[in-house]
Amino acid sequence: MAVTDGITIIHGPDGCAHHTTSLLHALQVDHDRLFSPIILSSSLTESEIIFGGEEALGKAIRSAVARKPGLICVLTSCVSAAIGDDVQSVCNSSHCPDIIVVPTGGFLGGGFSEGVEQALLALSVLGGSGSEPDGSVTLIGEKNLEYEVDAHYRELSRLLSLLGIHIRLRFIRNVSTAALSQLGSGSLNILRDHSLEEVGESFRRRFGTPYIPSFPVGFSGTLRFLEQVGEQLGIDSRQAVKTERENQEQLIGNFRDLRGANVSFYGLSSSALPLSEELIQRFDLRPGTAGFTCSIPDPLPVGTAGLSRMLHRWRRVCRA
Amino acid sequence: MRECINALWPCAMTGAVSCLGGIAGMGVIIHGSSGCYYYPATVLHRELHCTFLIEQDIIFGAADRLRTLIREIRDRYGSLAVVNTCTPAIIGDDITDMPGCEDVIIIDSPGFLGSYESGYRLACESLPVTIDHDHEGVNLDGISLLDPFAQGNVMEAERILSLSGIPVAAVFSSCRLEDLGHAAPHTLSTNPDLSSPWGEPAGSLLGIDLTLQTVSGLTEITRGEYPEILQREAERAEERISRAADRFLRRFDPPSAAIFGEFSYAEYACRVLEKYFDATITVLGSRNRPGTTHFRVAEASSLSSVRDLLSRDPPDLIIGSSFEQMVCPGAAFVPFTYPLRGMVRLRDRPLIGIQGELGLMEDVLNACMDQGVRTELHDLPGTESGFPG
Repeated sequence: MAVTDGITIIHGPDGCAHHTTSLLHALQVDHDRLFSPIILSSSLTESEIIFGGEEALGKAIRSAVARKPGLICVLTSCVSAAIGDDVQSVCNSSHCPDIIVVPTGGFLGGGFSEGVEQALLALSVLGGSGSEPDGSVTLIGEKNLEYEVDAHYRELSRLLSLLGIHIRLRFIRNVSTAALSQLGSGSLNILRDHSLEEVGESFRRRFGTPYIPSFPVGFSGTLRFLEQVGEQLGIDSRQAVKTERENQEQLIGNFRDLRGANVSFYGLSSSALPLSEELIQRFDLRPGTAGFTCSIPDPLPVGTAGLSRMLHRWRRVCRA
Repeated sequence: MRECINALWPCAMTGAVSCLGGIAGMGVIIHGSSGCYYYPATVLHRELHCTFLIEQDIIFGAADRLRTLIREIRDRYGSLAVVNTCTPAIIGDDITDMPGCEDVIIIDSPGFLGSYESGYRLACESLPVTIDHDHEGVNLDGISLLDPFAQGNVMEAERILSLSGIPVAAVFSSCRLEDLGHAAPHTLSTNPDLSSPWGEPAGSLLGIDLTLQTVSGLTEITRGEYPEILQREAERAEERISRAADRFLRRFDPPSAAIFGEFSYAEYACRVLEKYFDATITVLGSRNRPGTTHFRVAEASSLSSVRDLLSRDPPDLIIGSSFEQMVCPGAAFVPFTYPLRGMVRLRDRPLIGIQGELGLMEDVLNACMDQGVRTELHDLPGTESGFPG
């Protein structure tokens, strides 16, 4: 749905299509974008549940084709999976070359992460134009439903610019179908988080592109990220690390009023533990049940800028 | 079969959950997958439970998982309700007759069965309501968690009824579970699209005229006194709106307006705009099945239908959701129906009663004046920036 000239068909009831439309709309509007991805529903009702939904899907595909999109993706829902529609066969018989089935099957195809993985792998068939690695970076699997998704992108762009590197492709966020062919021509893939490591491995095998398994988290994690990118691309990262370390020290100085505060962490996930320990140490915090209640967001804050935004919220709670 | 691009309105399952979720003390279980849970949990802002079905449950039966969840949470609530979703409904898992769960309310409203409104009404019919014929109050119906006016409507109804000394009994659906056991014999409507089967219908509060009529009828039923103060408030409100509308019309033409929402709300807004503004209604875009009206009406439950309606006859003013605002960013806009994204709304606003009509016209006048002034400035030579000197 983040392919700007693509159409997504959800083979299911209108309600399922609405859930996705509504969530994406909320994020688009929050980011002042007036673009709404086209999500076509095959509008399964009680009648199709009884007699089968393949005809309804065929009609939805014809309707999508008539709009001449760059790409059509057909997503199966739990309803179409439960009634056993042969979605691939309907798509094959449509004689439309630009159609990709993403076998999500609603919850019958696994959870949210499996769906993301399936979509990334399915659309990777459009990648690999055969060109040599060009020194650029490809972001893999940005979370399109994440409120801070573009803030994270800006932070990644800033950090990579310290190394003189640019992001060429966001696989998949706000890209055209044509741009997807650039998958495989970047020199390094950066995965959104560790849950996508199988996707990273798959792309490494297919295109020979190495990957970093996660966006940077924490002060030291961000510096390590710069070093890793430098190592992977054969770039001396010492100056970039020095610049970023100074930036972090200045930031820590800006929040010196938090130093020594009594804090209690609320709803801390296991993945946030290392970050909480780093923050305790950096700010000499005194964790316990007393003091101001602070939380670490899930997904974790990205880079130094993500930490800065989180610390502002901590300070607001601390002052309350 | 119609083409549905970007469906704009939730399904029957969400409707049922929004009804049940309004009853404090009732535990609501969504019998389905995380996907079916995530959406209502996100938009309704209520504690909901879910069986979080996975593929194995579909193969081996999902009833066990449901029974386990019921056992785990039943002590926390006065009553439990289970809303069935598409896949368990398709595989025919019988959850209506589970031993030990006879007191659990089962709502079979999978999303594929139909609209938000049908799911809401189905759930409302299943509420454990007992009419207390000695209750001196009235019930309210038509209150839904998805409605941006829901809480404001309850407050306005309570305010108006208190002027007549009439207490509010059960609210369908925003009250305590125990209130359902002492529902009044009469019910007032705040949104006819979500009417309940409980109590004798005693009128509607949608609009100043209907509010006065309804309160007058109620005082006859309760043998109470008609509150003259309400009459005076209504007259003052109408005068204020008329004065403000007149002032607008001295300077600008009446706007052409497209109004989107559930049918009854949208039809009411059309009448208000026609009454005070002599506005042209280009279309009443109904999210649900439309009723009878003299306005041009069309179903508008997908973004494609909204685009068609707005491009066919572009309006000066849109009253609707942020979907319509996105489609027609140049028009004046009044937030009216779910979803309202990209804006902050903290205050409870009513649509019903006297304050509701005042609020609607206040929003409309401000939006149209801003738009009119922008157009004037744009058309005046030498005033590209700042006010005319």
